[in-house]
Amino acid sequence: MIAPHTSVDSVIELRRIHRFFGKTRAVNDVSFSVPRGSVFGYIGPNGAGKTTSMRILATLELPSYGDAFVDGFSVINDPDKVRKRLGFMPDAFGTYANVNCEEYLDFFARAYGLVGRERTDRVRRVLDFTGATRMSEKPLRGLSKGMKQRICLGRALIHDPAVLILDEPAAGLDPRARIELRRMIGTLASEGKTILVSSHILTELAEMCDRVGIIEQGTLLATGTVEEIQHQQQAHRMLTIRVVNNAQGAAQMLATRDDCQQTIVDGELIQTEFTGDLHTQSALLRTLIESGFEIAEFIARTKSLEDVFLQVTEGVVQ
Amino acid sequence: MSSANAIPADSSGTEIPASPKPLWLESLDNGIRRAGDWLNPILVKEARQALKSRQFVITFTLLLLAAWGWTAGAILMLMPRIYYIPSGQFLLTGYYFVLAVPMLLVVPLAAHRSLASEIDDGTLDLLSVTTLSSMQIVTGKLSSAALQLMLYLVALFPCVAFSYALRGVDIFSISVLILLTVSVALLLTVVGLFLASLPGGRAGQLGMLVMMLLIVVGAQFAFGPIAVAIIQEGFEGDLDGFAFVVISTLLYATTISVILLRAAVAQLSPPSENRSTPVRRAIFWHQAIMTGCIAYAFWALDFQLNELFTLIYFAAAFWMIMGTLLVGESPILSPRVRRNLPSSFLTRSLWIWFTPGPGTGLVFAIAGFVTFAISINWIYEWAVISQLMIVQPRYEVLPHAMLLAGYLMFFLSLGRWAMLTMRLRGNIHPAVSLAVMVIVVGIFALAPYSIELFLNDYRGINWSRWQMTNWAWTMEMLLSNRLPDDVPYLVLIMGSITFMIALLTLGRVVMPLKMATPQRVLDEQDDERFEEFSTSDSDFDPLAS
Repeated sequence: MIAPHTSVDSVIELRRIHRFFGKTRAVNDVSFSVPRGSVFGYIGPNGAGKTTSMRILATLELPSYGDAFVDGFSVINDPDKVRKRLGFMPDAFGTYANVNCEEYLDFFARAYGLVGRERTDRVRRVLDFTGATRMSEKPLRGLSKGMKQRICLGRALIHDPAVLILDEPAAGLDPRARIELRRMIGTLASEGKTILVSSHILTELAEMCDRVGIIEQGTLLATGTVEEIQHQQQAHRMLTIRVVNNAQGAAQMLATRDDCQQTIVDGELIQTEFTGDLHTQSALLRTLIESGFEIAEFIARTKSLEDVFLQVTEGVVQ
Repeated sequence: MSSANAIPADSSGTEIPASPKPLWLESLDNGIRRAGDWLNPILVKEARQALKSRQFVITFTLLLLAAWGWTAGAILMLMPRIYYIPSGQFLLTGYYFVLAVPMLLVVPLAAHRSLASEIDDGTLDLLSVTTLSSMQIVTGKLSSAALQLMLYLVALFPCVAFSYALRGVDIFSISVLILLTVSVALLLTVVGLFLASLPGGRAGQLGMLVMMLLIVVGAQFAFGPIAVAIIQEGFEGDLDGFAFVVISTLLYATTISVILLRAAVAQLSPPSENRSTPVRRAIFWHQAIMTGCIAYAFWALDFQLNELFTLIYFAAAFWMIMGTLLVGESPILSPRVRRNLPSSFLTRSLWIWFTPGPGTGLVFAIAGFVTFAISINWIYEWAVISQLMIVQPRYEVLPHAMLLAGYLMFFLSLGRWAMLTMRLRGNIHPAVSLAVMVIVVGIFALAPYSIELFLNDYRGINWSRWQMTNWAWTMEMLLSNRLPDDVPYLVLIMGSITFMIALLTLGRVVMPLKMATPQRVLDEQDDERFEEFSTSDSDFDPLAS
């Protein structure tokens, strides 16, 4: 593998990246960085600009404005240097006819300039790591989606890159294959690879990522650790209140308040989206009790990454 | 991190059983494998794919069956004359048509589809993120096609030898036939790769496939009679002249192939790369070699001078197309390109016109044509003096050269301005550049004609100096020797003035200065050189396998 430059702190860095397709702003002023050895989750609805940003990092697209760096090298000016350090797994697999798994990996090993025993060793290790050794002689086009994803990950790893960019690696996989893939990504992360991964399966991202970025309509809406983002969004909490005597009256009262939105009543239970800090939350409880409502439960739910995602994004597709 | 350990080594620890092969075979095997390490990876992959493909198996089988069938059929037809009449020509003609189908049709189409499907299926993206260059991708496809051509040729070689044994064809004719067939097949393959590389989505790819089909079928019909003539007539006349025609045709095909290959590579390269300079170099060498061939033909082989001026028209058309594509280039140079700009005054003066950009493209195209026109005029003047020939005025090169140079300067300068205006809205596709130029030259031909026709109440009009921008009519007048003598000068002046105005806006062309290469990149390059040096002896362990 190419030795990483330890002088560079952020192995992946996007600086004010813009990408326009005609009037569509696929990526609009996106900046973030990923420290060495961490896993960064990239979240966003379809058409948000995730794939475009990843393709820019993989040197497959040029930004309309801004620049991106991998291990300190610009994707615009030194794409050849970037490619040596980068393993890219796109969302589309891309197979060849009349080629088996081993030949496929062998070809990409050659394409990365590996020769002799180094190449054969590398192919063997990658097959072993991805659990595809017994499939090595099978034609690529006859493999299941899960096996194809393994081989695809193997291809991205064949030259032992320091940086991995995985675009929707778990899309279309069954639960077992997803768990396997997550295990593999975890192993790679524990070995110190810097990984940028996009996925729709947010619970999985929350488990494996050190940091996440939420993108919609080409704009990065939030970035940080999952906890940081959850904390940022604590001002918008879901309150579940069980009112034993007059739930409808309590709901009407809440509906008149500016800090309670989308109040729903279901029997004794009231659900509302509350905006405010812990002090105002405590004041709300006091007000309800002082108004004569019998409060049996008052739960402020910590938001999951999925809730945060739904809250931050609007679900608009460009 | 110790990334070398990122993926755990094979934990199975299974021992590979000792090979039953003899040691010399093992060594040979390892030697070949080691040599294979240095082959273009695309060639290796394509060869694996192609030789296992159903298409290859079917084509190869049909080729053999057709060859055997023709051998048996032809022998039966020629019996019993085959024992005493030379019959090689008859058999070889049939073998040519058997071989022409895979060589001139199947292989070029397969190469075209191979690159087109890489683009369609998204596998080109996978290749683009590796360290393979676009040149390796294109030449790998070409090499694989060449390998298949060789296999088809070798398969039919016994039949060719058989037809030679039957007399009637000489070894020289057979060699020339094979050489020309392989060259045409390779040229068609290059054309196929070039067409596949042109962007345009699925609809565009379909259009390119149809165009490719038309080209290969057309090539079958165009080259077929030539091949038959070579077989049937052989060579009994001027061998020098024939050798010159064959060699210059091969040189022409080679240089055109290099231009198309470079253009295909440019299409596949990322926009930050210098995509223009290699194409310009290829164009430059094409013209230099062709000028040399023409000079040799007239000086050494006493070719007739009468039609020399027609070459100027071919050159003008060539430079018009190339010039249009060059002036349609983006004026923005990436920092990567600017790092490699010439730095000294002398190198800037000589090489700046090879650097990308519409301004340098304009000067390059016009300088290219003018150089060719001057060379042809010299050849003409020299031949007239040395051969003491009296040539009719209509065959003089100079008026044609002046007229065409004037038009080239005029239209390329106007085209550049039109494309600069369009570039304000975004990048221009090469096809759009060509369309813009067609519109520009169309307007300047039709507008004066329509206006004068209108002013003359739609009655027939004669050529006047108002029609000077009407290039089609003016050229027709010159070719029919009816154009007033001063008009080529006037057109040259008109073109020169337009070009001079365009030159005034070329300031930015020579402004971009060489950028320093970042230290980070220089360090990396040093590391790579050191690594290359230290691993120049392959660490391949033949016993490891």
